[in-house]
Amino acid sequence: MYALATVFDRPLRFGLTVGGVALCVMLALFLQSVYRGVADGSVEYVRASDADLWVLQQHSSNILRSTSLLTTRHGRTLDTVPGVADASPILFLLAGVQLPGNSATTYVTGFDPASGRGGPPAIVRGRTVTADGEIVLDRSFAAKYRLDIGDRFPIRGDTLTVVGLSAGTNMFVIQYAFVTLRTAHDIIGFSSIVSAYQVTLAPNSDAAAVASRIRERLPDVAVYDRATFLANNIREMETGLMPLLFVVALIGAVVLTAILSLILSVNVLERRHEFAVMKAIGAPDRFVAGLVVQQALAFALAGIIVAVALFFPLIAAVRAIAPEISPASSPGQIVVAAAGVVAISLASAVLPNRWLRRIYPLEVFQ
Amino acid sequence: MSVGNGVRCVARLIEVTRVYGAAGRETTALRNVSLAVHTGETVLLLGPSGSGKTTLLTLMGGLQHPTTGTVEIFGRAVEDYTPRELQRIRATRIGFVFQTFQLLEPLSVLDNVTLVMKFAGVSRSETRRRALALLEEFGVGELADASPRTLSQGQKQRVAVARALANDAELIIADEPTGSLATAQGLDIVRFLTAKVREGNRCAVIVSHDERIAGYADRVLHLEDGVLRESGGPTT
Repeated sequence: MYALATVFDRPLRFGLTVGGVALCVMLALFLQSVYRGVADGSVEYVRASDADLWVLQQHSSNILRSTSLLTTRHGRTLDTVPGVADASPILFLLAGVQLPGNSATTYVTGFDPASGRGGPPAIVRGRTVTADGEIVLDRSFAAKYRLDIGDRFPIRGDTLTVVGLSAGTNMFVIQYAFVTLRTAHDIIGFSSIVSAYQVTLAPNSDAAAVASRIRERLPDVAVYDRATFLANNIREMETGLMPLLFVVALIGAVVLTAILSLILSVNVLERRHEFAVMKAIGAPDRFVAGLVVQQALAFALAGIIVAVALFFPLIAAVRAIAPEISPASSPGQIVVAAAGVVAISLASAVLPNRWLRRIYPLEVFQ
Repeated sequence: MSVGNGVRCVARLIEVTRVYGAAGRETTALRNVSLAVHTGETVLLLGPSGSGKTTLLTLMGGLQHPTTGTVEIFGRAVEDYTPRELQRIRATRIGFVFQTFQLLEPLSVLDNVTLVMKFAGVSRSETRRRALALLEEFGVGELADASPRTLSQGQKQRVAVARALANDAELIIADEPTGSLATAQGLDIVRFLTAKVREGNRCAVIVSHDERIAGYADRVLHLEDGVLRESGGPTT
């Protein structure tokens, strides 16, 4: 009761502290949701694929941050490998586009519409690409550049028609766009180049054995099973993004710890005499220390409640203002952020408790 | 330690000297003081400011140790208690009344009284019942939910005394309990305290420089420059 009474005894300080805690919690939630959104957008394309094997140029391990150049000849060879039912070519290329009043870059993915492999993982509006001259855009890319189904999309001297919008295709810094393989070849100007093949195995074929046979027949390629290739891409995404997010989160945690430690220390020193009275009349040490912990938790819990209340409107605003950020939130993230803030608040009680230990009951008589 | 007729020695100082300050700049607050306080008696300690009265009280309350000599409370030397035992004794067997009341302002009057019972491990339902009864007895029952900030000086002191008695303390230590009060209010408080001492198995040591309350004490001691004298008798 004393802990809460003293916290609420200074309403302005309480409000400012809770505001500071709430901002830090919102920062943590926002970083998590951005990470989740980027992670989903970066690897969903690979995760959604039903290919049994991925074949890339030797030494290429992922599609996010490595170049892979193969030819249609590789595809013809793959078709002859025992155990291979289908080898669908995909061509990835970065393409700059000039939109009215804006220039943009998109990660154009050419695929074979006949097999459908390598196409958009999910269509949220319109349809997938079925013919040359059509394009499916990522929905956040389309929102950012105010493009919609039926719009014309100029790309490297050609003009495509937007026929659909996709989800799970936003990598934050760049977004996927999907065209037919032939259209992609037209864009790049070479008709025999592909980036990778998605291989489907014949029934009852062993993936490892088929991969081994592919390596024997095509020594200049790298072959990955589905799980390994997905793991490669997740690792690549994390190594690119996690250090930045970690540093920002660490700074937030340090700032929050400092704010709470400072406020709690001020509370202790301001009420030094009252703590001395409590010690004089027999307050156990753990009771007095517990008061500071209760105050820290009160600030933390109030901050969490305010942050959660403001977080979802914030996310909605971010999506409206910057669709390419595509934050993705979940109850689990809130639990993680709340647990982190509670841990920080407990750590913040350490310094003020050191001050508390230096308050002596004799001070009451001074 | 029993001294006959069910009277016990609650606190005893044996040739106690207390010196403050670093070497070369020492101040002697108490000089070779010996004193015993027994159940059923109210001891008044008179003396001017700086005479060592508060030092004597805090030694008796187990809040500090003597430089030389021995302080015994409840039959054991203070040095023999662990800090935790001393904390426990202050919570359960000693009641403090401070000069400026020292109520905890963020708490209600009722919570100020129940808090010490909580320190003593009394159950929540019992603390409330006992605290309300005490506040009623001291004439401030209707102020149970009030903030100490809204009380008069006299009301604050009554609450402070109720807090000191909340755990049926055997030793009441009161530091200038009338200092912040008008004469009538101050005498009221002392009358309350001495009545409580007589009706219970407890004793009180009251420090004051107000000679008007001498008539309520069983013994009056004078402390001057750290030296103790008893009015009309020895100090032990």
